Amino acid sequence: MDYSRKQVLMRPDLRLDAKTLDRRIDPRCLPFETTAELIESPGVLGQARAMEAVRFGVSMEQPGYNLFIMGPSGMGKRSLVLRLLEERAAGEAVPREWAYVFAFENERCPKALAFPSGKAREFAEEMDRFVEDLRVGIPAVFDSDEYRARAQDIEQRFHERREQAFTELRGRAQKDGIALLQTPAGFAFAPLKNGEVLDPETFAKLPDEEKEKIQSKVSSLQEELTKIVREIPKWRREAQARLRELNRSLVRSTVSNLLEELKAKYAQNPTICSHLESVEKDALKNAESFRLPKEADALPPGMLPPGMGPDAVEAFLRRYRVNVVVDQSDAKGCPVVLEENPTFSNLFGTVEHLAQMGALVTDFSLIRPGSLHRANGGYLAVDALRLLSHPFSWEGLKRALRSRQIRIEPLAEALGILSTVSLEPEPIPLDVKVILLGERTLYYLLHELDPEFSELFKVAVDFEEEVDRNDSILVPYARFLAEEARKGKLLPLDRGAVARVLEEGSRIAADAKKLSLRGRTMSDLLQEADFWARDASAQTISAAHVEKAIAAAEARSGRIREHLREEVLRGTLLVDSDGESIGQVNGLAVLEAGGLLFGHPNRITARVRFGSGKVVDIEREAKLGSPIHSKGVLILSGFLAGRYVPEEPLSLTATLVFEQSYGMVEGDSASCAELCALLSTLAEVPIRQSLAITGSINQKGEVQAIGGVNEKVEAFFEVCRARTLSGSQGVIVPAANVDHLVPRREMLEKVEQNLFHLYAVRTIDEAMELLTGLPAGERGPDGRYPEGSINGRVERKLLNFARKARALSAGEGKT
Amino acid sequence: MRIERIVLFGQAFSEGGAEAAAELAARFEAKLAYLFLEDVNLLRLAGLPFASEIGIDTACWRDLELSDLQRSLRTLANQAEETLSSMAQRLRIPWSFQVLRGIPSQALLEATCSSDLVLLLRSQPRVGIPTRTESLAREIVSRSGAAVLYLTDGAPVQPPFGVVFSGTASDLPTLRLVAALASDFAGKLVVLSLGSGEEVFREPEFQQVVQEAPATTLLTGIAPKARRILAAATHEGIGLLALSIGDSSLPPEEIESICAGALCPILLLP
Repeated sequence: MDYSRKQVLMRPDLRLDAKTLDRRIDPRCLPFETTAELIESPGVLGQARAMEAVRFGVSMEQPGYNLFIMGPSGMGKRSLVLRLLEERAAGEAVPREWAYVFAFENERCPKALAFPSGKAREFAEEMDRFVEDLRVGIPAVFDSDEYRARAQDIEQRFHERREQAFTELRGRAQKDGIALLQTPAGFAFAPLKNGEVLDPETFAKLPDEEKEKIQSKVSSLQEELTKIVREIPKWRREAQARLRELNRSLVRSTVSNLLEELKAKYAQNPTICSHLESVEKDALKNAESFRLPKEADALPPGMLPPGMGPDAVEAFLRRYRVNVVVDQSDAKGCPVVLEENPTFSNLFGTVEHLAQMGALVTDFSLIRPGSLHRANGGYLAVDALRLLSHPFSWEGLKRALRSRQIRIEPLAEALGILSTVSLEPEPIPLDVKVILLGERTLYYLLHELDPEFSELFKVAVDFEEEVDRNDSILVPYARFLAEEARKGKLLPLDRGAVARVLEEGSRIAADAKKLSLRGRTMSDLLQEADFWARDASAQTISAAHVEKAIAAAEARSGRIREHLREEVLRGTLLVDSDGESIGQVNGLAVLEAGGLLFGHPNRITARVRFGSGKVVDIEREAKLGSPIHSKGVLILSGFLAGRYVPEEPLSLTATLVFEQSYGMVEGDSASCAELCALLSTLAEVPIRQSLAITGSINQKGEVQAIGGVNEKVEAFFEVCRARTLSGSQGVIVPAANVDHLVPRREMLEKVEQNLFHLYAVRTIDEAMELLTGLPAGERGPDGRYPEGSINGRVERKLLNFARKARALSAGEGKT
Repeated sequence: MRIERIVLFGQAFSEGGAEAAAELAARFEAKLAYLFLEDVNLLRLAGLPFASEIGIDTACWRDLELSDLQRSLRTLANQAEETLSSMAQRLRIPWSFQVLRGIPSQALLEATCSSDLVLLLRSQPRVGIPTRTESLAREIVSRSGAAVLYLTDGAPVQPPFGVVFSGTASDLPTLRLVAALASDFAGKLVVLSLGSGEEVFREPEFQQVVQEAPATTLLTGIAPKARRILAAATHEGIGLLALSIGDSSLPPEEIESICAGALCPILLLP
């Protein structure tokens, strides 16, 4: 074979023809005219594994079998799972209702009462009526003439008893000529003369015997007075006890009458019965509290003590009311609750406070339920990322699932931010299935970092992002599109539009053999196509409207892409699309901005010289290369060392650079291009600049698949098209990426017209032959590469370097 | 009858008494004079060598010193003056405060000579030697000629107004006064007649007085006993019961019993 430079190898066998690249679907194979005909439910597309996991997870009743629904956002995970849960929940029993009531034995720990469905509200209303009846009935009792007369009688008896004791004592004293006087702080005895107290001078003049006699009488009377005064508190207590008993006896009949009916009604529920007993006991114990305060005793607004409203009786009677925290009266099955804002309070409930006179006060009526209360007995769906974003929500949820109890612990108090008297409501038993929704990364991170996660969330529901594209999926997928159109009140799609959307589904999946299951993306496309159809006053969405929607969306977000292309065309960014150059190749990069991927051609250059066997990655040296990129470059050394002059040391120094790249270079998809540039330099063979190349390389020289192939290919195509398509331009891609190619219509047309080419290569040799037009060359029986072949030239160069190195080494040895 | 000066007699601090007196003074647009009495008996007691008192709440005995006692009495007087001052300011009435020292009955009789109305409270605390307020009230009326309003705690002066009528012409001024009060308050007049008194009722003067009141109830044949009179007053829900003690057919002890047992204020007139 003549290996002169003039013979150019074009390797047509590596070229991909238009037919291979054509991913279009023939609308005629779709058995409908428009999606309006597709009224059947699409079911769940391509999620058999996930659906099975959901069914398993929700059916498992053992603790810990909570679900983590994972997959990228926009998949429709949430709506799908909620739909499934709601379907299932409708057939399940309505769980119990819960209410908090005053705990009479310890008012800081309100009691939780359970009720059958619909009964909690009823009980609360009954207790409200009871309170209203008490409010009216009891003051009326205290206001009655009977009560007043009996109360006055008790008071009068006390006074009379006391007065009688004093009167008797006074009488006895007077007989002895002694008066009982009231002093500012008590009582005292003094001798009398003519109805007046004996003055000290007169007393002093009395004979000693008389004085002693008086003093003796006074001492004796003082002893008697002491006994009386000491008895007075006892008499008062007795009077108070009698008054209390009177109050109780009057309240008892009213309260018992009012509660009798309720007790009979709830006779089968011992907890409620017990509460009613406590209410009765408390009402009797606090009978005094039902009395309306006298107007003069009422404090002005703002001066009321904590917990007391302007109506002290109403404030007191609050304790008999019922705070319903879970009301299932309208429920048709078990609850399915989606918590959009999973703060600690929203999840577990809280105890609110009222500000009164600068103090924060609360009671059981200010207990507010959380979504766990509402979901108890059913399902609670929470976005995992939001859950983790809110302080203590995750820890609280785990604690609740572990203990199987909902304990309301206001966060501010737990953190010590709020230092005031608060409540410890009785925990409520928890029986809930928690469904977390989140990205896969989150699932794996939780699994790795939180040992409790795998104990509490044993069911992973992994949503597929794609489904295999084959003939059997086309109609179900069309039904899915029809359903989306109906839900969004969009125009029906004709079959051409469906075919175009299906094709775009492959494009979004970046795989010609797959269809994307990203519901939100597909839904967005349909809505935008509907917009353009309505804009054109069409009755149905056609392929042209879909095409317009795709193009418009790309145009809207294409500012950076267009700007980069403009700079290439203006020569600011150096990218050639014709001619030849040694050690220079067109690489292709993919950039991501705002969730949008787009390709961009980059010039990659290589320089070699005699050296110590290092391939220097300038990106890495400048700390602009990612570890994966650096790995790709290091592989090049391995390739060179393994393929060429195996008996000699690798004695070169090579430098590789992404020209005009000022940001981080990620990934190894340019390693193939970098090797091509390096081999071109070593072989001193120019590379065709009309071609661009992408692919990663391994140590054996095999070209491996990369990501973003469509964007990369189209980026070089756009540059070439803008400059003029010469027919020699094209892109070399790894053969493993052929199935991922879903080219845009315009490029496909140019490929059909032989104005642009795509080549699929498996090895670096195939790539070098396409890029240089020279055969790569294989080792002959003599173990040497053919002279003039690329490999031969490279090996010769490296051999020369090795000899130089050896000579240099020998020279140094002599000195 | 025009009331220009109301006297409140006190031997200790009493907010209830001061308030009742101030409101009454405001009602009659009269001047309120508070006479605070320091019972000289107490001061004498403090000078005796064995003077000691027992605390009513503590039941403990302690020596009674004259200086301590004087200080305590001054404190009581100050409290009474402050209370009166604030009430008088609130109700915008002219007022005066005077501290007397002496034997209670004598001092009071001397001080109330020029008064129109003297207020006495049934349950008002009295520091000093025990005095029967009922007899004191009767004595003030009969000796000084001033009217005495004998108040019960918590019982306001309000209609209907009752009057004990013995059927003699001397009771007519009292009847006239109470009828005028009923008219002022737009309330009912209840005449509790101790005899049949039919001939008096037909007299034009009686008829004229009765007509002054917006409404009148006439109860006749009531026995001249405190118990009967009080029962009738309670039955009628009387808010003030007036009786003249001048030529009254009621014996003094019955008058004092009415004062002691009434649930409503009692107005004693000469």
